[in-house]
Formats: sequence, C-alpha cells, structure tokens
Amino acid sequence: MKITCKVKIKNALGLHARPATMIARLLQSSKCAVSFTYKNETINAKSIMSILMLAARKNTLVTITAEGVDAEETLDKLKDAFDKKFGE
Amino acid sequence: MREEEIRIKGVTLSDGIAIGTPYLFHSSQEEVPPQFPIAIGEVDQEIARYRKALFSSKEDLESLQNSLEKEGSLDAVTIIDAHIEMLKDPLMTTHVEEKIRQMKQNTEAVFRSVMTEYENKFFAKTSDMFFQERLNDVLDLSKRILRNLDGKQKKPFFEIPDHSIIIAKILTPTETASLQADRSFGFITEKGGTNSHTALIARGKGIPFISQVDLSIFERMKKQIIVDGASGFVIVNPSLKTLSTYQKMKEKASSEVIALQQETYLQAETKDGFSVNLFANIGSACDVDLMHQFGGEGVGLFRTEYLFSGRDSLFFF
Repeated sequence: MKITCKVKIKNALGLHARPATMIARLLQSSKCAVSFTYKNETINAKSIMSILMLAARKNTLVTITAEGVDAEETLDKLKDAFDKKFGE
Repeated sequence: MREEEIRIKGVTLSDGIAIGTPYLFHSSQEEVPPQFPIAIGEVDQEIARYRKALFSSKEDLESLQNSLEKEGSLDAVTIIDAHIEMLKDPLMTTHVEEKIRQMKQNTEAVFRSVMTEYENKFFAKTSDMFFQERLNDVLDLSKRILRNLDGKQKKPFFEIPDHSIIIAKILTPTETASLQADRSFGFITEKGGTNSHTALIARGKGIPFISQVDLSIFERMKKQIIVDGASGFVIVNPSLKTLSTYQKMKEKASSEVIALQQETYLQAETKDGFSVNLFANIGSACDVDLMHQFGGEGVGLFRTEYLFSGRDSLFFF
C-alpha cells in the first residue's frame, strides 16, 4: 500500500537535528519505505543526514509518502509528531 | 620592556571571563587520508573494518553522553543523540559499504569521498546559515569515524593544562562536550556561529567563548590572554592594570555566585512576607539533589524526553 499526505512544519526551528533524530528513531521499527518531498527534492526519511539537508523551515509543507505493509500506521505516527511540534 | 597590550574584537558565543595562557589546538584529523586500491578479496575485510569503526564510534559517543548526563549538560546529551543516530543512517552504513565494493579502494579514501559528496550537495542546496551549521555535526562525526578507522591512535582529547585558553580554527560539538567545565578554560576560534551546537554546549558548560577572531597573532606568542565574553574582546598581553581589573571582575562574579548560594536556606518570600513557590525544571532524577541544594521546594517541569536519550541501544548492528 502506498499513501501520501502533506504536513505542515509547526515547530519554531524547522527540521533541525532534534526533530530529524526523532523522525529517524520513529521510523526505525517501521517496515515500509518512507520518503519526504520538500521543494522538489525527495529523500529517504529514514536518513537523518538527508532530512537535515532539506533545511526545511517553519510553516512550510512536506509531502510524506509511505509504501509498505504498515504505511498507514507509520504515516499516522509521523503526522502526530509533526503536529506535536516534535515535543518542542 | 613590556610589550603592548592588544585588543581584538570578536563575536561572543558564550559569556563570562577567562584568563589564561594560549593553547593552540590543531585537529590532527584534518589531514587527508592516503588513497590506494584494494584487491577484490580484500573488500569484505575492509567492510568489516569500517563496521568496527562505526561500532567504536558509537561506544565513544555513549560514554561521552554518560558523563555529560552526570554533569547535567542536557543540551549536549541531545546533540550526541543526533550523532549516535547518524551512525545508523543508510548514508553512513549501506551506502559507504556499497561504495567500498564499487570503488575498490581503502575505506578511508571511500569514506572521505562519500562525505565530500554529501558536503558539496549540502552547500549546493542549503543557503540557510542555521542549517549549514548542522553540517558541522556531520563533519564532527566523520572525523571520529576516520580516527576509529585508524585504530591504533586513540588520541585523548584535550590533555591540556588547567587555565588554558584554547585557540583553534574551529571546535566541533563533541570536542567541546568532552572538555570538563570545571577546569576554567576559555575558547577562541576563527570560525563559529551563535547558533552552532558548539556554542550551545559551551554556554551550557559556562565556558567563555569568542569566535571570528584572526588567529595569526597567537602563532608566535605565549603570553597571557583574557577572554571577555561581555564585551566580545580578546585581550592579548594585558597590562598589569588590565589584568588586575579582570581578575577582580572574575572574583566578583564568582563571589556573587557564592553569596547567592549562601542564601539558599532562606524562604522564598518577598520582603513584606508574601511567600511564593520555588519549583525547579529538571531533566533527570539527579537534578532533584541540585534542586534541594538551591532551596527548591518542588518540580515545576520534568523534561521526561531526556530519560529516553542515550538509552537507545536496541537493535544496533
């Protein structure tokens, strides 16, 4: 199963080291392939170094694509983390 | 005859006053590793050597994180978390291994080319200063991996005499983190920004730090230096008068802290007897002792996320 959705970055500093660490950890147990698309750039969301390279700022949109058995569940977890501003 | 006092203006990254003698710190890992071809039969051996270096790097970082946790440098703990997580990044693991198979060169050369490629891509895409600072974490980690690949040379960080002012082109976050805060150091660097993790860690440890300073003057002098975070000045070869002024300022600052500490037994109330609750924000159970020491009566905010930091040793390699 492949699903896509758009999420807004709500935390002040954008996808910096701490949120990127959190995302990578959150996806460690997930069995599906997850990618982020930001300003025409698509990267592997399981790679913290790639997330940092996006330099994604507050109030911008990221498209998340998840493909695999637990795609829906993974997407929900990610959406929740973005919505909760990664605890910041 | 006494030489003249020189004042150099820089940018303060961490406040406070430090007085000491200069210590020129060169990151030895700035050297370019040798590059040579390997035989097909050696590929697996090289990959095993690389995995071992990643594992040793993880062990280094975890032990650094443990001591930072005890010291209460919680920002530094979170930053080290990111470094540990990067060790599991597919770019660091499978990608480098694939490249070793493909390029058939020694691991150091392959690793360096992968990192250079990442760095170039990063700069091409990211013009944002805040995010460019994050590249320093990747470079910091890649230095550590290269050092561990070398195996035999486990260079102890900063075997530096007390009361030194460390002078370096740039200081990485973990270099700064591995320095004990209680040995009264100061930092002067050529490169570094307020938003960098290095600055954040120095602030957490209370180490005075001035950056964006031309370092050429320090190459030939061994005289005393003052780092004045409040004004952003580095004072080289201070006159006796300047020196005594700063010594007094420093003593005053520490005596103020001591004076405040002596009053921690007092009730938290205003002069006219209105009492308030004095609660502390804590990040670990150890902070409760510290809270009692400073007269806190309870916990305001418990940063529970720190409990999870540095405890992520499951399923690694």
